[in-house]
Amino acid sequence: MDRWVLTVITFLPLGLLAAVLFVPGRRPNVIRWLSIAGSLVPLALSAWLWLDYSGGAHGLQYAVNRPWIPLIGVNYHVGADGLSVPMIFLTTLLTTISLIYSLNIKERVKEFYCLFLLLETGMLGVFVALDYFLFYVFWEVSLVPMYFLIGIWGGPRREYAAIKFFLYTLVGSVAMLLAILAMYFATGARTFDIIAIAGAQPFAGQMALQGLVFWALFLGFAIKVPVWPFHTWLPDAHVEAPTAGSVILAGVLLKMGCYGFLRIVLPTLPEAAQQYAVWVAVLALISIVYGAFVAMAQMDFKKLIAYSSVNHMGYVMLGIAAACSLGPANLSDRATALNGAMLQMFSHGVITGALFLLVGVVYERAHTRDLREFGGLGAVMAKYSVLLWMSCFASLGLPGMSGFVAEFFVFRGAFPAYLLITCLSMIGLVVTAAYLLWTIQRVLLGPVNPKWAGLKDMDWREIVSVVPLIALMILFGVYPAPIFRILNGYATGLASYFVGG
Amino acid sequence: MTAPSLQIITWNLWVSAPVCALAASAMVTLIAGAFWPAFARWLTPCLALGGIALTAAFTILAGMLGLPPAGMQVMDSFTVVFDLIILIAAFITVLVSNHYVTRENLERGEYYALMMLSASGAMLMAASDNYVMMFLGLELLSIPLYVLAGFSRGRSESQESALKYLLLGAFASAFFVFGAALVFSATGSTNIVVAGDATERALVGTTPIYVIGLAMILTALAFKVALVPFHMWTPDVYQGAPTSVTAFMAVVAKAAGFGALARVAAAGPEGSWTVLLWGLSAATMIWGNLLAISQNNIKRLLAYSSIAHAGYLLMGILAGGRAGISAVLFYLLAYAAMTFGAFAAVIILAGRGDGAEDIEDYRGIARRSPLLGWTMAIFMFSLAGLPPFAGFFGKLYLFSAAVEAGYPGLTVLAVLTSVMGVFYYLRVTVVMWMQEPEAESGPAAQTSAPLLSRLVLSALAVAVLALGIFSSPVLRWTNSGSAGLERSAEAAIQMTLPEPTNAPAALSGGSR
Repeated sequence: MDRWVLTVITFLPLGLLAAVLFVPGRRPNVIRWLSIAGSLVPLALSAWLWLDYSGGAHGLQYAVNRPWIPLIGVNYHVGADGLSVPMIFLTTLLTTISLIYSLNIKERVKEFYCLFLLLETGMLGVFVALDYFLFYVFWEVSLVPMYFLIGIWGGPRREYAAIKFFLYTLVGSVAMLLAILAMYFATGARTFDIIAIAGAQPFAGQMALQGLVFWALFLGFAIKVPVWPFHTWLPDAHVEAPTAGSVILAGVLLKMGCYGFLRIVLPTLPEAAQQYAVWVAVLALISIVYGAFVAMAQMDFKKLIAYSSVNHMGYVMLGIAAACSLGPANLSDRATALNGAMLQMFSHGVITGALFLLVGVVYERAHTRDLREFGGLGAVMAKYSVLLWMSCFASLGLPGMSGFVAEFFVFRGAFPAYLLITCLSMIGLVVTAAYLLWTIQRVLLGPVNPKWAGLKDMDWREIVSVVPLIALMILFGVYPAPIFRILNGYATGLASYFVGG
Repeated sequence: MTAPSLQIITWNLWVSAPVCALAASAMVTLIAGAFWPAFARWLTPCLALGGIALTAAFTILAGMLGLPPAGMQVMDSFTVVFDLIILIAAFITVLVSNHYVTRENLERGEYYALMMLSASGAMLMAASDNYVMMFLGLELLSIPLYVLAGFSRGRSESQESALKYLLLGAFASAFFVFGAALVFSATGSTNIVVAGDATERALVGTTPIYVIGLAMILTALAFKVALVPFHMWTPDVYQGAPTSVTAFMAVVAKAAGFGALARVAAAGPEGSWTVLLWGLSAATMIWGNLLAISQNNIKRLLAYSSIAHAGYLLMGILAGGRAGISAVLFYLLAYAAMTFGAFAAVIILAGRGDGAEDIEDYRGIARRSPLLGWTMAIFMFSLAGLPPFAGFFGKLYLFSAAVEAGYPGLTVLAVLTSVMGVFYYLRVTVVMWMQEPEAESGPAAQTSAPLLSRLVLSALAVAVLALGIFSSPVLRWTNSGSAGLERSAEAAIQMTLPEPTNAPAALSGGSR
């Protein structure tokens, strides 16, 4: 019975979508509450998954492996391990929160909720799939609903942003598709199984070909992360997307890129990953420093948070690059870097999710995101002020919040690998602190702008959306053991994988 | 060298039963339409559907008999799979046509009869292993299509379309005949396999005459399936012809060409032939996608997109073998479902008199008619090759066959051009979903459609999804088709082998 839990989690939103389709469009409240109530089931199941997950020898649990297209060796192979369990939980949590927050969507409610549920299935599928074919299908399935979410419920330049988002990601994914075909034929075993192909090491010793496949996969995943210089779609997509869309985009979709590195690139192409790690580290450094400085220059609140994602995802990539480059003697440093990178994935999802929600809250009231126009909101909106303070602190890495733990682990792991790059990326930390504090100053502090004196404080819908995220930031900041218990198995497993390489 | 002679042989009539059944049903439909014009409106489509169903039954029955090649026509599992694809396409055409023909006042008995005759030509083309028979099929396919393209007598675009198609099509047919004559003079046989085998076993050697003849045949078929640079007619003819005819042309005529190509391609000499197909495929993918980007008329856009898809299909022909041909068959089926879907939506959206065929006219349609919005989005994403729709699975099978056959470069090119394709398919969804609708009046407001059209549209959308997700049994089926092609090629060679010392004159593949 346990084996099918992942299938249930993944396809339940799809079943819910089918149910929602039959609700007439003139009953928007039924649609809204049916979706929200339904989405609690995958959330509860993924919480159970977190508690139930026990690690084990290979770390893989709840696996189901059934033939799907036997003629070319495609299987329906799903499973969860330390890498995917937190991501599954993050996805279901952020989806439920987004659905609750989106109660204020008034236009085309039915389409909105349908697309969101489809999106959830796509994202969950990416995190449970252990077959390249299945992985690719879900990867693309998650792309289409987001395209519509940006394009229909987005801001004034929504068409441009939606197409740009779609085409950028698609270029990456077709590069990935070619790499997948290359791995499939190189393995020669007529299988698309991610684990089997990693075990076969299709390109062992063939550095030229392995490098080619590595860069093709790199392109696919780096666009999604996004790593500088592939990040230009991100600010456009974020600025135009509706609030819930931004939450999912930053909270989950970006993680799919890092997930690809950890699930596919590192285990399957260890030699190339090791050889090119320094390039990845340099790009990560640029993302960190450049993302921070550009964020500082933004006057648009939402764009600022968007660029801060480039900055924060850079830490994940730095941790991954460091883990690849370290020699076999530094097994524990490797594991530390990977643990940090994986915790940063989770932590960034929670923190940015909260920040985008908070940007949405103020935008819906003031109808502007221009930081120069705000001021003194702390006196007007007390609850908002507290939550924004906490989210910003978590984002800038204040000890006691989850961001700090993650970044500390990344730096601790990266330090022995790249002394100079790690030191330089500290600049990013300082700049991040600067722009977030400056943002708080511009939004919350100072004299009250009379224009905003009448703004209402957050209502229950907004509070319910943000508070669980803040709770997680604090929980894993103070006591990260429950998440490390899960992550560590995958991190040490992956770290020892490289020993021979 | 004795003078080559054509042998007329008697063969098991079951081999040609399906084609004859469809042609006979066409005649019945024609006569019924002529004698009872008052009932033509519902009688002729019903007769057409019945005739197609009957033919399908004959096809399955004939396939189960396991008939040997008959020298002119083959009833192998390739023919069965291919005929059924054609019949499914013809069936959908009748269903899709019904609404359009009524609306445009084209209800004459000939309409359905011509369509069925054309479909029987398509079946004959794919079933023939002889150039003479293939030519017969080509003409039977084309001549009714010339008439159908000009069926909207009142519209000058339709006239233009028919004339263009006729002139260029006749030219292409001439190429085919001349090519077949050259092949015959070089090898002493009009049998595709035997002629190819004769050159391979150096009975006569790969003479330039043979290569030139084959290249001319390829030219004619390339014209039919609209490969660059033989594609010039496509956008004009597709735009001018009645929309239901365009859909039929885009699917059935293209499928027929690829069915014939699948039989001919195996006979091609190595080397120059491969280069030729490689170049055609690459040019078609690049040029078709490139020109589609700048189109504003939806029918022209679909015309260029059908050119691009021909380029992908040719990859499968080039790859050949069991995987390649199986991928071609699968892709034809997927392509039929999504292309018919797109045209069915266009028919509904066009309203009376093909008024709204510009993409801009579709602004905000999704809001006014969710059914059209969702289904059109599915067809566009499938044509663009996104999972989990049939188009993606078809492309993947084609690409993996091409990689396996040793054409990674062409595959990379195909993948890149399909990204280009995504852009223009997306544009349609952008206009339909993300832009505000126009005022209540105007062509865009006309989204009502009879129940039958809506049902067909939904069924096609479900088919596009199901062909993707449950592609495994379909793929096994198409695989049996490509295996049949291999087997009957072997059988045709076997028949010539007992007397290897014979002069080429005796190689005409008779049953002895």
